[in-house]
Amino acid sequence: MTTAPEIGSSRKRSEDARLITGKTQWTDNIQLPGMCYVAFLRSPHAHARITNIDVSPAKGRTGVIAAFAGQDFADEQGALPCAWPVTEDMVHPDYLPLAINEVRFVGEPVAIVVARDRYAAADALEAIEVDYEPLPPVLDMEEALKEGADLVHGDKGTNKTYTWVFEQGDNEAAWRDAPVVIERRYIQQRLIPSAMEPRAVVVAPVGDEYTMWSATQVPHILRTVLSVITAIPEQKIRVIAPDVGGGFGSKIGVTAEEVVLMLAARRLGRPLKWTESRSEGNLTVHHGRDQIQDIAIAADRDGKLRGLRVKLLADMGAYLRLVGPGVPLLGAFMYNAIYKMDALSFTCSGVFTNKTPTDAYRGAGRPEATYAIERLMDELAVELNLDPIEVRRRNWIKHEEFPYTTIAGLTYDSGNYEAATEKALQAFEYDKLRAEQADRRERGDPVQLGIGISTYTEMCGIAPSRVLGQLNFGGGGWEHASVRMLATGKVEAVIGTSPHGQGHDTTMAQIIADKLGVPWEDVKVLHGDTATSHKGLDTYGSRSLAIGGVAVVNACDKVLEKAKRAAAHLMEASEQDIEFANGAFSVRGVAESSLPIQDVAFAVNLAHNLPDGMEPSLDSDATFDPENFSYPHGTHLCAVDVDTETGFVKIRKYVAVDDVGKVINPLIVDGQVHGGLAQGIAQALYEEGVYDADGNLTTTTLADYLVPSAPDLPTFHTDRTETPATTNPLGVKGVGEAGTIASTPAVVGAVVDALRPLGINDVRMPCTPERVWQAIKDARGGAS
Amino acid sequence: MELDHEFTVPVPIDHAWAVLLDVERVAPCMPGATLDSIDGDEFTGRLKVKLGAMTITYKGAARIASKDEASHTVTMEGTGKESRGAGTASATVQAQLHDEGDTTRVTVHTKLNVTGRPAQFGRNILSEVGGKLIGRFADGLHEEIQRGQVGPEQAPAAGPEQPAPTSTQVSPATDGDHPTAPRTEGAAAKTAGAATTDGPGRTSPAHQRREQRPTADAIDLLEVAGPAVAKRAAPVAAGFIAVFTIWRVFRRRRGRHR
Repeated sequence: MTTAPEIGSSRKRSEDARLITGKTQWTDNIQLPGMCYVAFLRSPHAHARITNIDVSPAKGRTGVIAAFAGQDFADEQGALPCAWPVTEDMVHPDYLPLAINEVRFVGEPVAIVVARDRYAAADALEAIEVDYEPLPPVLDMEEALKEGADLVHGDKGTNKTYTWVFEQGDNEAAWRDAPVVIERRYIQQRLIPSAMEPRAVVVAPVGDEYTMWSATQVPHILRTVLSVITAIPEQKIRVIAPDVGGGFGSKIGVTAEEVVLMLAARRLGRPLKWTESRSEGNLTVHHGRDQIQDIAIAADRDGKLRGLRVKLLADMGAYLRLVGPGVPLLGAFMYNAIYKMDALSFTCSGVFTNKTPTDAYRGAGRPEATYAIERLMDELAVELNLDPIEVRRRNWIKHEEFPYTTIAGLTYDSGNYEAATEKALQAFEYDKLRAEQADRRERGDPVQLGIGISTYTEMCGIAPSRVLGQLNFGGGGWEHASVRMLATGKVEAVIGTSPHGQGHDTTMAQIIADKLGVPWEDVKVLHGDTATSHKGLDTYGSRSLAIGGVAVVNACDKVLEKAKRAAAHLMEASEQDIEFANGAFSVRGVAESSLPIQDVAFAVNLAHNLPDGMEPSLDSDATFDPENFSYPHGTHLCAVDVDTETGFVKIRKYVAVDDVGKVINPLIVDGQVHGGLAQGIAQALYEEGVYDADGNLTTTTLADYLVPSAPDLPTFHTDRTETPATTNPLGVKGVGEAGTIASTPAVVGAVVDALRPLGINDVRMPCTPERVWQAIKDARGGAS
Repeated sequence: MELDHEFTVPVPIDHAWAVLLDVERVAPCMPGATLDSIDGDEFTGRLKVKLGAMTITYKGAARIASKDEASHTVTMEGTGKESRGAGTASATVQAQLHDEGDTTRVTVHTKLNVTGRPAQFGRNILSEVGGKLIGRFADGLHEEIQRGQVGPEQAPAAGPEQPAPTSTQVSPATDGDHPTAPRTEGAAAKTAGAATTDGPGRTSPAHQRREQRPTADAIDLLEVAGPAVAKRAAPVAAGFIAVFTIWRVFRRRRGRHR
């Protein structure tokens, strides 16, 4: 009997029933005996000195059992970590979980109330008296770097945290007498990751041991860092990420709230819970993007790229978050994208402002890089009067040139840009749309058609530990899995990645089912609890499958190896003669011999008759640390109708052809692409975190921060090409961020393409009707 | 945020100037404001605003920071703190009178800083709301000065001749579900003392004004902001309509399959 392979099958996700109905354990629905609730008092000022703080009036409120200010934890709260000191001399101010003397962004916590219920805690916040002496807020990156600027951290003497420089190739030669030079400035607006589930934390102290449930992406990292900050020995901390409703990077931090709950629970000796509100989340979940990109290319008249120069200002916000300084560096290697060139010059300065700190947000550095280079390739096409596809074709790495070491020093193992582009052009009906565009331009149609192109790539599977070490990142990049076959032949797999919507329960079970020849339903995947998953490095950077999945494969291989030895012993045959297929062992040449792996598991579990030296239980542990990143790529094409009278942009057609290597579950891959497209399109058209002139965030609600919903988005045409990765045995590349990285330039490129006849070459993101209308008005005003 | 307003009142500049310096008369021009105490050029009070579901009461102090008779300019500074919350508000209002014969043109320049929930309420809403709020203040001032044309010498003078009716004097400073303490005795007495000429049986401009303007009622900023907020609600309504439409289409399709 042979069964259809699980890998490649569009299994419906086993976790969805519980996730969609909400009938599962989220952090917020955990109830413990004697549990109290925490509410945070947050700074209303962007920048102010705290001249006095008195929490005692809150203590008298009904239901309140305690209230603490930063001073109360001064000796134990430590500072929140930044694990990525990108340069030796990086300016790294202390980031206190509860501010004591000074607040530096609106929303920074200054005190807490602990009460018997959530509402009593929230109500009692008003009784806390804080006197602030407002200080001038620093809100503009370029102003912040000027001589004599107001300082976010007065004692540091500068608003610049670091400047990181990366030079490759002969830049001088590339730019000398370059026939074509194009320079542009692009603004990556500030984005607010909007996971469906807000953050939530529960801490339960038992004796001197602590269990923390947190809506986090990184239970393992959180545990280690909490131990370092609080000096509670790591073995006495257990962190559990139960089901988590989305993260997109916003839950990879180790946050003030987590540390403060831990300290307060220790102080009070009782379980505590905190759940953030949406508005509180918009203020305090780390933000993403927020860069000023000055980018220039040098090219020959035939369109061949010579060199690329990138100067970035990256807004860190008020403090450095866990990997915040490194986010732009993840983009540094991606500016050259799929193109060949002789030189690359990249400089990035991190800047402090009195805003919410920034950190990784879906794509982290790579969407910014892809946006800039793809927009610039369009500009080059216009300059040379070439089709933008043709300009790309003249520069991209050809499929026969792989593996190819780029100017940034990365070796792209595989890819086929021609194939993906060809497939996309056909599905899009590119030539037909170009003809329509010409016709509408000719007619002076008030609704103009624009076509945008993104031939993106990204580096996924973060990351080779060795490379992370070279980049001075304070963590490794390996992943772990253990697979065990229980006495009854069912399988439990423990993984070190920590899903929060990605469908690991389903995907990992598909891999294991195929490897061990067992029914998919027989596999249970465990994760997110440091007591069951004793090692792992969690989920971010599209690493779960490309690294975690390979660890699962390695663990299965070890299980099979052991099972094979046991089977040979049980079948009294030589190990060399044992074959394994469809979940059963047989002796080569002996037709009737067949021993299901489940029977082997039972026997190994009994241990009545084991080969010498074999330990009972059919299980194994394995890790995987990649040699290289993986490089998904693809071609996204977008057609928009731009109403030149109202500025309204409507996406008419969106074609995404992605090459993410081997696909385990096509349905999940499509889902990841759809979600990624929604977020990338959101940056292009809808979302922006806005601060007013005093440093108040004015987009604290979903009425103001415009996360698109299904009616705002077009029907996506998704398709794939499949060039397997050569750097891992599964041939997979990762898909978690591809849609976000690819789509933003495709959409904005389309908007600009529609308006090009008016002399417009940029519209700032998000391209709201107002911005588009204004750009048209300015262009027409200038022309008349 | 800086705001500018301008209006003209049909009284000569000297009359207008006298009104402008009378805190007792000027302060209630601010919609939602209640005076608690006056001490020379300094006064304390409350300002209650409603922002959708939020009702925010600011407690604070204001003072006449400078007055220059020669240029007919008066500058008032006010700072307030939310009585239930961490937010703050501060404003510097500079009013200048311009002599135009029988009429006076008044220009009002306001610098407004708000922190906390209302500042985070939404893009542009605050400036719109602030603009409307100051606009109403200017309207009130306009009316007050117009009333003032009877002449400053006839305007209310200090002197507790008759006790004031409490219904108009002690403002019903409740914000719905959370009663706020009425102003303190001392402050009340002081205020009453300063304003008691508008007792029963006497018609004074101040009395008329009080009758017409229940000053302590929270001003609903969303109502004030009007269309801007309606625009915000529209996508929500559209969302509901869209969901409903999808549901109907879906239902019809399913129906056809049967």
